Amino acid sequence: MAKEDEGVRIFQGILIFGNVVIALCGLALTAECIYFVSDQHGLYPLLEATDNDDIFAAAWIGIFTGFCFFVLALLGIMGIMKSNRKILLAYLILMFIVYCFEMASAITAATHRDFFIPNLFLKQMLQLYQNLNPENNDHAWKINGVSKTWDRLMLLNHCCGVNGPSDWQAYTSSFRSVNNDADFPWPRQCCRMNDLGQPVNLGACKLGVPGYYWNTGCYDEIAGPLMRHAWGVAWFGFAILCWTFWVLLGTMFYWSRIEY
Amino acid sequence: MKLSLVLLLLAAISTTTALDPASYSPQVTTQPLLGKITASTFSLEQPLCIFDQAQNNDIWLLVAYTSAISSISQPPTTSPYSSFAKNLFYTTLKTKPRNYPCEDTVNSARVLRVGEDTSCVNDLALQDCNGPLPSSGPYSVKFLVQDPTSKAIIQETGWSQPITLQRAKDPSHLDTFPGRRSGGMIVITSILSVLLAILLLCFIAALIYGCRRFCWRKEMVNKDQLASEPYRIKNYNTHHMQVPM
Repeated sequence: MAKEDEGVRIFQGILIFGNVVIALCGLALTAECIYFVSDQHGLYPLLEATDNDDIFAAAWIGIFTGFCFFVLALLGIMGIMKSNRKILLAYLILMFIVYCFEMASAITAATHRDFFIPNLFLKQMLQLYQNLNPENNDHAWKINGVSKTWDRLMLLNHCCGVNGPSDWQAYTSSFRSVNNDADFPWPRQCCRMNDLGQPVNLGACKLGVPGYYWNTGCYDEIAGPLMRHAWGVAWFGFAILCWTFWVLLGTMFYWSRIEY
Repeated sequence: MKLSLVLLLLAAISTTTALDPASYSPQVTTQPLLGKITASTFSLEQPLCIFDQAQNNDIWLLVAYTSAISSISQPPTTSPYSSFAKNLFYTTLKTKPRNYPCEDTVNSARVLRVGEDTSCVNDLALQDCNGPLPSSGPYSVKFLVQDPTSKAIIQETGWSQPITLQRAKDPSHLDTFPGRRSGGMIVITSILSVLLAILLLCFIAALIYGCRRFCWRKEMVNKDQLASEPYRIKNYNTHHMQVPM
């Protein structure tokens, strides 16, 4: 009997340890997702304009599930310590629901990550940047967001277009229909600026003299942060789920063994 | 040693005597400029030291559709930008030979950007307007030397190679389909689905198993009650839980 008790104690200890890890991971996931939805790089308007901000949805779900994991893990610890069937049954059912949500979050983030190809941002940039003919208020809102985001991106990150300044030459665009080709082969933001925010040498920038314009594209500045965040949400969520899987199995085993 | 001497000599000759304009053909600049050919402009190499520096002639650049070269009268006349659509050629960038000197003192990129000036397009009276080119061409260009008093063309250079401008593509044909799924996405989706399925099965199994034990206990309890023997719920004895529930 003493030996059996000791085995139970050890098993309880393992389950409690598992739940402590879940609680901590839940808090970390919440923190990570809050950081992501706070959109430090200001890239949300670009996603909003594609009508697909799944990755942000995934992060919002992540905030919710992370906190749920934390609370439920505490509940689980309590249930295991008290060996209470009812608490543990509630724990298992709720954990199962949260598990499904977190799964949705991880899969959504991983799936949306694949969509961030240069052409997605290129097409959107060409069609929306400085577009003067919005179809409706929603469209106007998107145009405004995309234009401002691109102005800021190019100016602050010293980049031009998605792949480089040639994007503005190789394709027709709203920008081109607003600005003539001779004066604006590419937007002014692509020029190297002085401290006053004026092009160092406008003529040289228009000609494309090396050193007077930014030759690199902005794709890395856009997709980089989005990809990193999505990677974090997807794989950290995945890791938590793998861990939770074993803890839940153990809890179920424990639950079915509690005697009255 | 010999070679460098020859080179020096050549350099000396080329700086002192102007080349014969007739043997010169304009060409698009070879400098590494990203915008040397755009959708409405192209940048030519400057004809440095080609024209007689001593004369006060006017130098014009004649821009024509390559397909219309044969229909241009000989010698050509100057024609404003505004009549480009009608004549299929125009002349612009009027300047003096001293602006194409033999000694290059300017360090910056020395190019002639044809199509640069967008402000003069609507000024029909203007003779010299370097307006943007209307289509992708191809265009051919040559320099003309005009006597400032008689307005006669006295010299001309050869034609350039045909210059085709950038043709912009329509962005609506850009393919935004991501193509194949990444390995990571497949791994996450498949493993998580399997885990969830296992979890669900185990949960159901645990419920059934737990319930059977539970129900069986109830039956026992009933039987025990019949036997009027008090039934004690047995617990796992954790150290802080001495009171049975």
